[in-house]
Amino acid sequence: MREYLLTLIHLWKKKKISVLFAKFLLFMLLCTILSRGIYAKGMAQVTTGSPKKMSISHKVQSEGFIEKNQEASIHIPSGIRIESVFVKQGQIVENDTPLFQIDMDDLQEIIKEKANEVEKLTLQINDIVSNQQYHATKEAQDAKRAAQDYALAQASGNRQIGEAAYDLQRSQEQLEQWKDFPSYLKDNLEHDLQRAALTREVERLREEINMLKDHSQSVSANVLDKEEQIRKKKIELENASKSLDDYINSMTSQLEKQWKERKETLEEDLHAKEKAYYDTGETAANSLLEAGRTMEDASMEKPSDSTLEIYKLDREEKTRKLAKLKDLQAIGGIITSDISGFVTKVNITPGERSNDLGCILLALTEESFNFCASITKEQRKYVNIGDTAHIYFQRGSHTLENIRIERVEEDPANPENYYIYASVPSKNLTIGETGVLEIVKQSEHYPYCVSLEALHGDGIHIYVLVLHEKETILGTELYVERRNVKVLDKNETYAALEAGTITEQENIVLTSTKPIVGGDIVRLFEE
Amino acid sequence: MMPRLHLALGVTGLFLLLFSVISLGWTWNKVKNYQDIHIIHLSKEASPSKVFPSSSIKEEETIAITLFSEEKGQIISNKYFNRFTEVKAISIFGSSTLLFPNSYPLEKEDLTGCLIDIHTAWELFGDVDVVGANIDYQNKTYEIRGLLNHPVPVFLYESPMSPPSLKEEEENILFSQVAAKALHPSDKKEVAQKLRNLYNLEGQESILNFGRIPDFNLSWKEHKSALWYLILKESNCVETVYLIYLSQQIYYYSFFFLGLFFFVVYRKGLLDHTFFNS
Repeated sequence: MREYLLTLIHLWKKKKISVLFAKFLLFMLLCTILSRGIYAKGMAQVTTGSPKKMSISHKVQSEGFIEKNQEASIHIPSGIRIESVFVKQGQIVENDTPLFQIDMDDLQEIIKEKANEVEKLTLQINDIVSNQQYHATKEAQDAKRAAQDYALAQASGNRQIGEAAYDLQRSQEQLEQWKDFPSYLKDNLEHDLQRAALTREVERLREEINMLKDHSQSVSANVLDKEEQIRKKKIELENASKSLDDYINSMTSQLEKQWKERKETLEEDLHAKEKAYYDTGETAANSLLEAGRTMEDASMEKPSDSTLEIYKLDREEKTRKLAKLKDLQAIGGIITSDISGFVTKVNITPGERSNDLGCILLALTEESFNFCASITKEQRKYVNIGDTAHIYFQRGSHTLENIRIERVEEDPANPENYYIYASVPSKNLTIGETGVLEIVKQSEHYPYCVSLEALHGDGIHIYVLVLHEKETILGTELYVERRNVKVLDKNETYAALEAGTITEQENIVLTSTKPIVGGDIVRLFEE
Repeated sequence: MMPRLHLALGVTGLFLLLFSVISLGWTWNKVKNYQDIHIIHLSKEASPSKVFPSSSIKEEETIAITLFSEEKGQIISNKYFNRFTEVKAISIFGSSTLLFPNSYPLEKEDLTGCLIDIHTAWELFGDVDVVGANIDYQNKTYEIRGLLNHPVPVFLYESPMSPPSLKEEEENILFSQVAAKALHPSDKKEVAQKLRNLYNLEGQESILNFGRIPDFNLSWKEHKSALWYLILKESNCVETVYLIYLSQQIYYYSFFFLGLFFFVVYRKGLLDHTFFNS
């Protein structure tokens, strides 16, 4: 260490170390200058400006043209041959000036044709009216008859159903009244003569036996005879009783057979009556339905037929045209101007027939024209009826000042466009001449207005970059701070910012030689 | 003094070697996405409706195609800030990834989106983070989907396909160039042939084989043809990138060889024998 220090002192004395140190310092200075130069070269250079108090002017400029204020068309019905034309385009005409002549022979022919057409239409209309009346009467008659048929079918059906119901009821009653077999048997046997005779014979024999028994008790003689008689009588009684029983049995079976046959007959009759009742009801219902449908058909509304109305309209139109043609004939076929103006277009040629475009177009001689210009929807916000505008015409550097906007209309073909109209004096102007309309609208005064180029945006926020100074190890440096702002109003050059975000003393970055963001170190642009 | 200079040469050579290797690596990493993209300058302008007449050709199975055209001197604007700038407008039909593989992919269905370069973004918005903002071009508003790192101001947008019923002479959407890439590496030599056979697309092929230079896959004839084409013709957006990377690589390679020379001189002591002793 000591040796090292002694060596340094030795070198110092020889002035070698001081030279080395000076060289080292010089080298460091060069490096510093170089690095600062590179550092400064890498920085963005900016220009700045302070917010100003001003109003934002909105200038609306649009190219337009002069158009006619009013235009009149002289026209006659199409298809009439023109004999001669007395005027040409650009000619000034007065009221009652003859414009053109119609071919009168041709007009006469057309009138005759039109009159025939009207006559034909009248005949066709009469035929249609007559047919319509005939059909109306027939339809009313058919409807009336159908209603009568319906009423008859209803009455007939009700009657037939009533009769069938009565027959059915009778059959039911007969079947219900048909007695049961024991009663039937009893009634028939009671009234049977043979059974009565047999019964009486049995009873007579019983009485005789009883009498014989009584006589035998009171008279003792001939007892044996009596007993014999009684025995014989008993035998007769048995035979008679047997005959009576046989007869009753025989009758019972016979009557049972008759009773059953009668009952079956009644039941069959009831079934037949029931069937007849239902058949009658169905037949009546069908008849009524058919009559009802006929009536509906007769009263159905007929489809509309506009033939008559069309013919009438056609005749009306043709009659009107015929009247116009007759008017033309009455004035001798010479068409005159009914206004004072100048001819802007002649659409007819001698020898040719007139068309629907209008034969001659006349512009009114006036002291003013219209200036029409197209503006966008964005520009529309700054244009109102009554605003004053300047119009600069290219031809002859003619300028009109303080022209009032008369109308603003939406472009029917493009809703994004509007037409503005201003009335301009016709002196020194020609129709179709183009010019530039300019309207300047001043906004209110805003305290913080900056140049539009000071605004930055990332698609979401709008911001400005404010210049600040800060102390670093390299000295005082400038850096930018991002500050989001709200734009109150703007035009093509300036933007008015909401108060509270920037102050009048602050420097806002206007331009930069490189892209910069908040926090970047920058330097002021040097001329 | 001479040994010190000798040592300085050695150190400088090492520094140049290190710098050039790092720079070349960085460049190669940038260009790797451009590998095997073929650019065809069509002899006759083509419309999408004629190139893709129906779904019968499944281009996804063979090659990816993007039709594009460039038009210089086009004006795009930011109406709100009343700022206008001149750009090269690139209309494309297909994916933008064949032209700018390192940026946001704009697909052919996205007819309202666009890509712009950073410089244009700064000109119009005063900001370079403007994804989502709107700009106007030819009376139509486009939303910015992404930013391109491109030396020339560009505006890239998708063109719609014309209705198939439109006649050829009525077509107003025509493209003069095609970018194509084989989806299978085995097909990469047949791209031009497939474009000609399948899509009837013919023209001068600009062989832009991005990658390391020299690329031994290409013959010197092919390199020469591509370079002459680039020198004589006006380069398109992809070719511009190619030229930039090409020049960068030549620059870094020259540093590399210079550094290598210095280092070899230092190591072998040739300097003493050749310069200092003489």
